[in-house]
Amino acid sequence: MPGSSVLSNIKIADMTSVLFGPYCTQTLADMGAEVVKIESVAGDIIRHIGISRNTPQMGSMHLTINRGKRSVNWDQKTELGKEATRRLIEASDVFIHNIRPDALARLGLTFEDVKAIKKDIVYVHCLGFGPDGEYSGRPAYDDLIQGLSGMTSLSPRVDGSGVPRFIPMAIADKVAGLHAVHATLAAILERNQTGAAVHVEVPMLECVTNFVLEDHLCDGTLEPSCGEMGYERQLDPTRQPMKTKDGYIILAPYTDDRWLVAFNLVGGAHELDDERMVDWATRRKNRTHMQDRMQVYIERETSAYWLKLFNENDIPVAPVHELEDLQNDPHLRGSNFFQRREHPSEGAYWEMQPPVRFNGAPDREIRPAARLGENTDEVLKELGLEPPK
Amino acid sequence: MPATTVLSDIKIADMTTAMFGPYCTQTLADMGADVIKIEPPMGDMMRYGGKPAKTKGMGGMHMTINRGKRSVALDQKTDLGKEATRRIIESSDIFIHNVRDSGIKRLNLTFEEAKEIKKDIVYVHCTGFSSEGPYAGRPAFDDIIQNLSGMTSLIPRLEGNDQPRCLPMMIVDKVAALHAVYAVLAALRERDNTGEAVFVEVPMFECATHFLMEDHFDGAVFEPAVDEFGFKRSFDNTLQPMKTQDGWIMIAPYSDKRWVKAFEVVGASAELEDEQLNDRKKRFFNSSYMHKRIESYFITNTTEHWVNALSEAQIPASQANTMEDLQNDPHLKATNFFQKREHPSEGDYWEIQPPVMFHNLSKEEIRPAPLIGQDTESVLIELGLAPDENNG
Repeated sequence: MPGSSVLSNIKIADMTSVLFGPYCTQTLADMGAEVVKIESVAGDIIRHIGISRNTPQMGSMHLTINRGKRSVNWDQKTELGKEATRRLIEASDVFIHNIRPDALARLGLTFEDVKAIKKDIVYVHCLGFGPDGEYSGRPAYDDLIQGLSGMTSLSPRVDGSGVPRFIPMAIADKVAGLHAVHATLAAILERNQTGAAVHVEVPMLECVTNFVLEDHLCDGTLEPSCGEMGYERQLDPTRQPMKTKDGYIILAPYTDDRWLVAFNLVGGAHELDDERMVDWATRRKNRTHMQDRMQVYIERETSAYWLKLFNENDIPVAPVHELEDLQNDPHLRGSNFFQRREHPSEGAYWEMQPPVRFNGAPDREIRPAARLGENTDEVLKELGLEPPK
Repeated sequence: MPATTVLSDIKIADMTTAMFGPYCTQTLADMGADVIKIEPPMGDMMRYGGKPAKTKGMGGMHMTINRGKRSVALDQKTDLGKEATRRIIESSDIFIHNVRDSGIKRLNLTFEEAKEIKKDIVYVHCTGFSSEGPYAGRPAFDDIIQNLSGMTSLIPRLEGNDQPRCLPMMIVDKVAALHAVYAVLAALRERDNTGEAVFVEVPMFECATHFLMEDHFDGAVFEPAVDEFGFKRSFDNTLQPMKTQDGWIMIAPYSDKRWVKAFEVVGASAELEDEQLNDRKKRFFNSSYMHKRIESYFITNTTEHWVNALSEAQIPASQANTMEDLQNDPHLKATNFFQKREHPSEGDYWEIQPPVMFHNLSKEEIRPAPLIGQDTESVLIELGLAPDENNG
């Protein structure tokens, strides 16, 4: 029973596709919102990314990203399709989409158009770039946004190579998706207060650039700057997991007194006689050297040995997990993070629990990801329309 | 005037420190919420990250993360400190903190106790691990959680070696913060509906793992798995930014038609006669090789030249900005993303505009980041308490 119902009774007409918008509406559905995913006749292309098992348009990414939603795929070029979309918007609190700005007028889905259908609609536009700028209206992809936002300049700063590289995940889409969630909820609160329609834009470039710079603007904040941009700690190549006899651990004492305890625990108290590590100030200055010395000891025992010893002494430490290890992590097992579910057509699959908990245990099942147009007929009937034969 | 007033009648008692909680409350303040940051007398440690220009405790990170908030410095060991905190909570909609369980009990500010102070409080605990699992209550830091959540296994997969590497930013803190923002707003709605207190837990570990696995669960979501963990495109070392005469460029043709056009634009059409690239299907299966073939053509001209040429041909392309480039990026300049502001004590600084745009709603200046305890006296007076020499 992994979803909560804090957002039950919020109805969302969802015309987003791929990853950014759908991650947002998935998060809202996980909190109980009723989401109707309006797909093109051919379906959201994400259905074809990642291998499927039984049904070709039920790829693995879709199973996670589009859970909790009903799927309709009436043809928007027909009279029935247009009327169905109109009625669905009328019956919804939120209309969210990622249609390019220059296509909106043609489709009759600008803010003004939609406000005319429902006067207090919450209208959320997921897009690549904010308005009034050079790139406004352009299509945006995760790669491009990673590059533009400075994200690809971070890895080269760590290894000193000067070669920009992508962060290896769809981070721009996902960060923008999380911004869209709070944007939608804030807009709903505003609508509840004023009774008027609200128009929100969530631009990927601005969201991701803001996200990159929260820590990394750093010494570049003040003008003139007192140093370089880039939060040193996160760009330090030596601040990495340490090698053990049989793998890696991350050791993060952080405070000076914990570092002292750590050296004692590994049997290296005499290291602190070295003039480079003799007091708080020198240890702070020679952090890299201190880490190098600690690494010498860590290599001598197994990961399990160190995890037990440091945990017992309240020194922050953790194993280094591969993706394959996650389902065996004792904490994630204990908190039931991965739930085994049975999909009506695709068989057994793993459903991740929504990470935020409201009032303790969640209280309802999350609807499994729908087949393409699975709910078209039932939704048409709800809207008082006859499904086509 | 970049901030909206969408959340203007929400009051937040903020006892969070470092990056996770404060980035959440900054985002709420950017939307108009009234945030009182309750700090210990020495202030939030984050104030000392990055060099200050003038005043100690006003480092660069603090200037960004703690803008929009009032600062009240209280010693929780004194009667005044305890009473002031109690009254701030009483007059707030939300009480948010990142204090570990043992600490919050000592402060007498558990959920049950906060409910006694305000019966419909929205109580948000920014924590490392959910209370349901065995690591509950342990201290958590960005690097710890990066490693636990599998994030440090990504770069090695990309580079084909086995040394785990941290992602180069406080990604866990920042992702958890974004979860906390919506959590607060959803809980407010619940409170509005039921009239009752709401207890929200935002655990870093679960937030980070969930975030990571949205795309990286991939074929392993099926049981038994139909494919390995990991969204393949992310681990393709050949699909990276490409060198130009004066920088780096990314292109995103995506469809076969556009790929063919891209080759044409850079003058590389002859490459498509290659055995491995001479039809659509082959190009799809040999996409890494295709990328390699086009790469060498970009070095012959500037980034700007290529971006323009490709955009004209309707092929998405853009430059790879370094952070230093950002303030000169034409789009970010035109949209006023970096606003130059004047801080009352620290001088000029750059304020990043909140990225989410609410149209047609009134806007306000964002309050600059406060000095430690800058607002203690005025807040105490608001609460009907007399400041003493130690507090304000």
